[in-house]
Amino acid sequence: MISIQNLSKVYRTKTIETTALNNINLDVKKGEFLSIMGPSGCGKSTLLNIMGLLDEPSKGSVEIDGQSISNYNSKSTARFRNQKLGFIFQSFHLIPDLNILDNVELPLLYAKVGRKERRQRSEQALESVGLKNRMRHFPSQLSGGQKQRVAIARAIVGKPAIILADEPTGNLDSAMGNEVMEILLRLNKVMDTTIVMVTHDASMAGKTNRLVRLYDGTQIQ
Amino acid sequence: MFKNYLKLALRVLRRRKVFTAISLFGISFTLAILMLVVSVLESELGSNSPLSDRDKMIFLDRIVQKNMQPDTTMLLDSSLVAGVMKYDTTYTIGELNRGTSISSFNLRFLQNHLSDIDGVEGYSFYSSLEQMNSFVEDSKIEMQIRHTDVQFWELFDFEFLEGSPYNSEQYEAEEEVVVINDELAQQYFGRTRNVIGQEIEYGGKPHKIIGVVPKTQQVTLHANVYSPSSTMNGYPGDRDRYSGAFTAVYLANSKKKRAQIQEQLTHTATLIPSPANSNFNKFMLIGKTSNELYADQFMYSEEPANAARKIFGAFAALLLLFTLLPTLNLVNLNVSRMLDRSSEIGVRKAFGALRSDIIGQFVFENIVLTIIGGVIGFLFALLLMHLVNQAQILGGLILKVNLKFFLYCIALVLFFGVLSGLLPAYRISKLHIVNALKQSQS
Ligand SMILES: Nc1ncnc2c1ncn2[C@@H]1O[C@H](COP(=O)(O)OP(=O)(O)O)[C@@H](O)[C@H]1O
Ligand SMILES: [Mg+2]
Repeated sequence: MISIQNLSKVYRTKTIETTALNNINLDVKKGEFLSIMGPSGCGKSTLLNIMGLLDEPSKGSVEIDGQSISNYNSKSTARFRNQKLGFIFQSFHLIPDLNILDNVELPLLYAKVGRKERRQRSEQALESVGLKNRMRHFPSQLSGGQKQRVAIARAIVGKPAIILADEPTGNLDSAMGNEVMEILLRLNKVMDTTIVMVTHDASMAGKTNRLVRLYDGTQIQ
Repeated sequence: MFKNYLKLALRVLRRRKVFTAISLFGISFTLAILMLVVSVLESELGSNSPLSDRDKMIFLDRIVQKNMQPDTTMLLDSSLVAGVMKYDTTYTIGELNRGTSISSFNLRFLQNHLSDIDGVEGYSFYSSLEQMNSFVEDSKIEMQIRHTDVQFWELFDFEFLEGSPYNSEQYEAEEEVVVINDELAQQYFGRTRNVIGQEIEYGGKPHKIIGVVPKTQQVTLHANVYSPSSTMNGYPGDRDRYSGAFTAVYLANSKKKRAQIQEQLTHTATLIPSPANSNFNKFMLIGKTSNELYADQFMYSEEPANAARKIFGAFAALLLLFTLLPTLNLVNLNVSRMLDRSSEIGVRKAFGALRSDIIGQFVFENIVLTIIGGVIGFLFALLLMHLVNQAQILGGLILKVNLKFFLYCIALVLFFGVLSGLLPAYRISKLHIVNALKQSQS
């Protein structure tokens, strides 16, 4: 599903050059639930962002769903993200001025899905995370766990083949974290969605199919 | 999609009350001033009665007479060549202007030389204002009389409040009939209607009122009494055979024809014979568009097109400056407001928004904001216009609200909204997703 070869990422500023990723080779199979662990600053987010076509590698190639990605700023990449990928972030990134339903609808809006269908599918996605009764609320009225569940609904509403989650439980206490983890596991099992998750929590990583460890930009396991 | 944007825009404005208040204040104030300027320009330069055909008119308000004499200048050059003084003399033969007279026309001169211009749909000769005083019950009333021909009323579409203009028979018969404006009717009779058939007195003679028109704002056409030029006692201001108090106006049937008319005027100028007892031997006839005639009030020039360009250029520059400064201010405010929402921009892009989607959204939001500011600004402008009208500043100019003004205002608001929204939206849309997402938000 995702194939990464000889991937390197170097950040250059005027004064320093940081190698965030160094020659990574990684294959993620369809339906796999992969977790990535490693100390802070080792390049986990960078790797995930490149897989999500949010960032551009300095070297190497990325192939997703049989398609090799070349231009990261093009319309077709935006459309590709819209259709194939769903994102979950550590700090939720819900839009504070939109209510829950409108937040969840967002990917469908850019997919030019009609109003009625948008509404219906968003409600369905909210139902699957147990928050349909909160769809008229605004993000500020929800707890952290609820926000992350809304973010999951937003990530899955477009039925993407791949979900990329960057420390989805990082801002949550263990009870809420477990809840979120349960939803992801169910999604992986029931919908056969490929999931790549960055985490600091070994017990969360233990529930996934495979674990990749990074250290200082290099893959060590 | 637009409904979503609108909902979002209104909510963002409600949530950021301080920003919204500051922006709205700036926007509405700026727009009110601009609307006031538009209103002044529309009153002064718009195609409104009695100058509805202003774009097709050529005004000839001056004859320039020059006394050109051959002139020889001698230049003596001395130089020391090989110990011997050498003198070189150069003669330059040219023309020297020994006197210029600039004036408006004598009516008979216009009738003799300038009534036969090809390609005009109509023409009229009318005088500048003649002042006379009249006393009604011991109070002085100032008459400002404009002597006109019959065609004057065809070229300039005055709205008659009552009665009608004088016709050719009345003109030929030299009847002492007049058209007055409503302001004079009020001063003289204490009412603005039902004065047809009444008489006003000036110059020791009674004049019968046959029509009443509204007071016009157009300086070139303003008067409180219009009277047939055939009834003039001699020709006021006639100093010689050529100069006098009259202006000619020609109506072309298209804008293009105007150039042709000007060519004919230039040609006619070469055919004018020198008047007796005068040294003037070169004449210039310069037709002016109504805009040039307007600019002429501020800056006289032998090249009216040039003067108009300068005057209107200065107007435009001022207007642009007044629009640009607040726009830049709003652009700045907008950039910081939008940067506050970089998390949102990152998320939207991550989930498939194109740059054009982001630009569209933020420009739309800005237009919503400017429309609200525009409504407030419009009300504020109406107030300002009312105050201007009351205070009679701007030379007694009365600003009116009409459909055209309203449409100009709408265009102004949209233009301002797009202008002040596009630049920040464009900048913000370039934000890199990963950097945008680094801003942590709910
Ligand atoms: N935009 C950037 N400019 C410069 N250096 C960066 C940038 N983003 C990340 N880095 C650096 O790259 C390395 C990896 O960062 P990141 O992938 O965020 O780590 P992790 O997610 O594993 O904590 C870090 O050393 C970080 O400082
Ligand atoms: Mg990270």
